[in-house]
Order: sequence, then structure tokens, then C-alpha cells
Amino acid sequence: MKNRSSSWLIISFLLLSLFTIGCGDDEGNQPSYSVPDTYQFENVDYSGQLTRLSMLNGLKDYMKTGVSADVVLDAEQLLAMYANTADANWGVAYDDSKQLKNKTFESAQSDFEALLTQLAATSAHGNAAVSGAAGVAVSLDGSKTYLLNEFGVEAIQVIEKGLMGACLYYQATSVYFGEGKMSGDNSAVVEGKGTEMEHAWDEAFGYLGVPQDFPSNTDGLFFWGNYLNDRNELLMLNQALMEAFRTGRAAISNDDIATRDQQITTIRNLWEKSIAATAIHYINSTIENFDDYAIRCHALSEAVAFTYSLKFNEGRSLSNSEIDDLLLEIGGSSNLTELDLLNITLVDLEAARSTMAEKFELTEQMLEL
Amino acid sequence: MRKSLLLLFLLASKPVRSMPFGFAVLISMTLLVSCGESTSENPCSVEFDRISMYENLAENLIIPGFEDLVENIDQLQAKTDLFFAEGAGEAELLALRQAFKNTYLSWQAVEPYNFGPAETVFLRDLLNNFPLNIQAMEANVYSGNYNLNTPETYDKGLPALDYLLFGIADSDADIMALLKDQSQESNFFLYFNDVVASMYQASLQTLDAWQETYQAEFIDNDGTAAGSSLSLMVNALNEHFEFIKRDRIGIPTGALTLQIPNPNKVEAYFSGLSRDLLVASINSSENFYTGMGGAGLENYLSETKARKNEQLLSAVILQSYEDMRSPLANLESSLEVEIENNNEIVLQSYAASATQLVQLKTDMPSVLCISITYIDNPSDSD
Repeated sequence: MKNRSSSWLIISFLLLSLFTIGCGDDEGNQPSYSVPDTYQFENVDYSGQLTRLSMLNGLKDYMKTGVSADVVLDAEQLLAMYANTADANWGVAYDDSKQLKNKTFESAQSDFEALLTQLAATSAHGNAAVSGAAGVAVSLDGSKTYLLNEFGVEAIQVIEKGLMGACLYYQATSVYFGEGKMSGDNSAVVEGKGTEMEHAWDEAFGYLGVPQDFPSNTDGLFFWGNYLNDRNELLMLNQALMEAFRTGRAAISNDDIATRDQQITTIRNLWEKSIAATAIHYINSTIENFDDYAIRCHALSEAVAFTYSLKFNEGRSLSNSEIDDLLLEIGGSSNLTELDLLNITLVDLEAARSTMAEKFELTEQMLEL
Repeated sequence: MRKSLLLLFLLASKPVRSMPFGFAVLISMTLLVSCGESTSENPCSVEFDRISMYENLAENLIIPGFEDLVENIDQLQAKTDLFFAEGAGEAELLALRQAFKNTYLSWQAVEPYNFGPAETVFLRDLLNNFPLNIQAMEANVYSGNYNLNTPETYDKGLPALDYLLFGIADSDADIMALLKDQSQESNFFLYFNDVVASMYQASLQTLDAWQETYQAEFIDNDGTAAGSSLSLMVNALNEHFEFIKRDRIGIPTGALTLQIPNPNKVEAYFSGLSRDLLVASINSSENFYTGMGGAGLENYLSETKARKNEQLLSAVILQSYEDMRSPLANLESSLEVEIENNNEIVLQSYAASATQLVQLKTDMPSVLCISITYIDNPSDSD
């Protein structure tokens, strides 16, 4: 008798537990899926993003030829490279459907075209006669040369780093992680690309410019991958950032939207913090080299461009007007095409640096960045 | 699946008649109650005369709407002729502008019906791709070389007329002088006429097709499969609604562009009609949904008794239309001005549209067993 009633107890308990645990989308559940150690998933394709990184690289290489005093850049070619049209003269063949321009934040596209055109005009100058004249400026020790305009702006930096922000960072953190893409279909698997949602996530990852086994592997870093890795020694964010990307992708494949959303927040925050740290790094460089006109303008152009990039994250911590204030402070204007670096003082630089360090909790590392 | 298999195993391993009664009840309970599913009726089998809905839509909204549009464009052409005639002046310009405004408003009433004949001729792309690409349009005018039937371009239709009538110069006198100048081989006069003519042609084609063949087809095409009239209706309603949400409000207010407003991207930027047109488009979306005086999606949805937030989903949708409209009622000026001065009010309308989108694109189709088949912003992939 005892045996029988206890086995009924066990069966009843089993049935009851089936009833309570059996339901699929129970919020109390721990994720029962694993997250791989590298970005290894089924059906991953971010070739379009790699194409654009390659294009930005090609554009950068061409722009840099303009630093030679005897090279004049062709505005038409610069614009064609930006939009991947006929006159681009790429060394390689790119898919017609891919370009940097139409993935740039829309109201910034004309700014970049203006900058590219201005750059071509600036490159027509030879060696700059004096500080504050357009042309090639040389560092005091004679080892470094930079192509500057008459306002001390190194347009090559502003364009390259500005596009990193307004195109790559914007697409990853605002478009692919935005409501539209993240509410795409997550059931129909397309061969080689995954579901719509999985694919959008992979495309965001593609713009990071790191290999699938980053950060244990730091070869083949492009653009953001490079700059984020440079900050890793002090900030140690590589591992966390990469883990968030892997976790989010695994979460999507297992329909764990809550975890996915947590990773979006994490990625947006870590990436943004690294950008702010990079801006501070270049402000530090500007301050250190303040008396060397060429290096000062080069470093400051980078600082301005990285600060500008902060605008393009949907989850950004600084408001648009706060970022504009910073741009005014260190760049002389919040308009990327009207920068004027000639009158930026040490006081301006230190104030901007403090603002960013405070906002992004970087006060401890501020001076070492 | 797991659940029922284990239950089967347990049942098989114990003689049924030795089970206590209470235990049998427990088993039947677990079999009956399924996880996460509501116990309401299957809505796709609700009793509703869908045919009456198609009939009402075609006879009372769509065809009269296209008739109005054609009539208005005809008037527009007449006023165009009068304006470009010898000796015409300010009075003719004002009459032409009024005809333009009437046309734009009557277009709003039919803009949602972008399926069948309207879709075939790309009517919305021909008439209302905004904001205008001024450079592209001017290149057309100066070269004399253009095709006004290309859907992808933003150089034609009502946005082009908006610019020509209100934006090409600062004063009315200068606008008139520029428009009437026929000294060049290719000029604004020719372009204006070509735009109006192409609009008329496409609208007339749409109306004729509805009256001659499509109305009967539409009424006859019952079911819930992709391509059925119900599916066309739900998809068109949604696609049009997203157009309102994104192009009329989201992009101009900055809601969709990192909170950086783009007031110059409103509809009818030069004529100042943006607020009126936005309100008209919300109304026409709602009319599509309700069927106005007759049977519509609202009635159908109401019959399913589907609920949201403790109310009928069909009523919640109506409320959201009102929530989109009411902030705009407090605005006096056109949208581009209000976006500069009172953007937080316009953003209230956007917020309501975001709520509504879920109701129209996720909740309603699910209840009606309709799949959303259109792809939003197809060029945006990869």
C-alpha cells in the first residue's frame, strides 16, 4: 500500500511539473542554449559590409596620395568612389549594388561630398608656406606631413573617421540594431544568410571590422576594429564587446529576444565608450603637441571626427546638442564642412576632455588615454 | 509534444481502471489546457459577409475617389491652360494654385488603394514621390530629356508642381516670369504641362481599369490567400500607413533619423500644405479601415471579437487614428514650421502612429489570418 501511494505521488508530481515547465515561452527560464567562443554560427554572411570596408580603405588610400605636394586629387574620382559609380577607378571590381554613400546617414551625405570636393581643391596646393595656409604641413622634426586646409583641418581624417561614424557605426548601432531590422522575420531561414533577424545582426557585426575569433586574434582589424583594439589596454573592453555580439546572435537563433536586447544595449554602450576614449586620446595628443602646428592639427582633426561619430548611435548617451557643443568647442563649428581649428585653445581642449571623461566614466584613465 | 508523449507512456504503463478519479481529472485537465493559447474561437472562421465589404469599398470609396481625382486633374489642366495663355496674371496663378491644392487633397483620398490598376501604373510613384529632388528635376527641364513614367525618380508629379508653383522664385511675379518664359527650347512651361498630362493619363487609366474590369474581379476574389482581395486590402492599408508614419512624420520630425529633424523633407514643402495633407492622409487611411458608411475591415475585425488592452481591437485601432490626429489639431502652421517650433507636439502624432503600426501590421493580420506580403524599403537590404 505504501509503495503504491508513493508512486502515485511521484507520477502526480511529474505531471504537475510537466504542466508548469512544459510551456515554451516561460519567462522564468534560464537560456538553455550555448554561446560559441568565436563568431561561428550557421548561415553567416556579411560580405556586403566587408565590401564597404574595402571601399573605405580604397578611398583612404587614394586620398592619402594627395599628401604628396605634386599630386592633385580628382574631385570626380573621390565622389565616384564614395558612390561607387563609373569614374571610381577602383583597382578591383565591386558589386554595383554596394556603396558607402547610400549607407551614410542621409543628411550627412552631402556634407561628405562637400568635404571630398574641398579636399581635392586643397590638394592642388603644394607645400604650405606658413601655418594657416592650405597645403602640406610638416611636423617640427620634419618626419610627418599632413594635407591641411586654411583652417588647419586635415580633411582626410575628417572624412575617413567621419564616415566610420556616419556610415559604419550608424548602420551597425542604429539601422541593424534598430526597431525596423530587429523586428524582421526570425523563422524563415534563407540558405547562407539565416533569418532576416539573424542576417541583420551579422551585418551589424560585419561593420565592426574584426575577425571571427577576435580578440584572441587581432589580425585583420579594419577601422573600428583597429581603434577599439587600441583602447583595449586601458579599457579592456574587447572581450566584453565581442561576447555581446556572440551572445546576441545566439540569442536570436534561440528566439531569446530579451537577451538579444540586453546585448544591443551593451554593444551600443561599449562601442560608444571606446569612441569617446579615442576622441580623448586624440585630444591628449593635440595637447601634448600643441606647439607643433602640423601634428596638432592632425590630432585635432581626428579628435573632432571621433567626437562627431558619437552622434550616430540610436542609444547614445550624449544628446545631439551636447555633441554639437563639443564640436563647437574643439572644432570651431558643429557643421562638419565649416570646421576651424586655428583658434582652439588648451582651455577648450581640456574642457571638452573633462566633459567626455565625466559622461563616459573615463576620468580615471583620462590622462593616459 | 514532450508532454503528450510522457502522458501516453504513463497511461500505457498503468492499468487505466486502477487510477483514482481525481487523477483522471488531472490528466484531462493537462490535456485540455495548452500553453500560452487563448481559449477564444478561431477567428478565421467568423461569420461575416466579406463580399459586402469589397462591394462597399469599390463602389463607394475607390471608384468615386478616382473619379474625383481625374476630375480634379482635368480642372488642373484647364487652369494650367488659362495660366499659360497670353495676358494671364496673378488671378490665373491663384486659380492654378487652388486647382493644384484640390488635386493634392483628392489624391490623399485614393492614395491608400495602391493595388490592382493603381499598382500596375505605379500611380503613387508617378504622382507623389516626395521630397522632390530639385537638381534632378531641373536637369530634366534644361535637357528636355526625361521620362515621367519611371517609378523610382523624385522629379515629377505633385511635388514637382509644388516647387514650380511656389518655390522657383521668391515673389509671385518672379515665379510667373520664370514659368512663362518660353525663350529656351526646353522650359518650365513644357515640363509643367508634361507633368500634368502624365498625371492625368495614369489616373484615367486607373479609373477606367476599375470601372471596366477590376471592380468585378475585386468583388469576386474572396479568401485569405496572398493575392485575395482581403489580403490586398490589409497589405495596402499597412503599406500606405507605413508611408504616412515614415515619410510624412517620422523622417521630417527626426524620429527616424536619430532625433535630428528634417523639416525640409515634409510633403508639399513649398506650398505649405503639409499639415493639411497629413491630416487628410490619416483620414483616408481610417476611411479605408472603417469602410466609411458601409462594411469595412473595422466591422469584420469587430465580429471576430478580438481584444486588445481589455477593449475590442477594432475600437483600439479607431482610437489610435484619433490619437494621431488630435495633436495636429492644435497646430496652426504647416508642418515644417511646427517641426522647428513645436516638434514635441508633432512627435506625439508619431508616437501614436508607432502604436498603431503594431495594431495594423501585427495584431489585425494575425486575427484575420492574412500574411503581410510587401517588403518595406526593399532597397535597404544588405
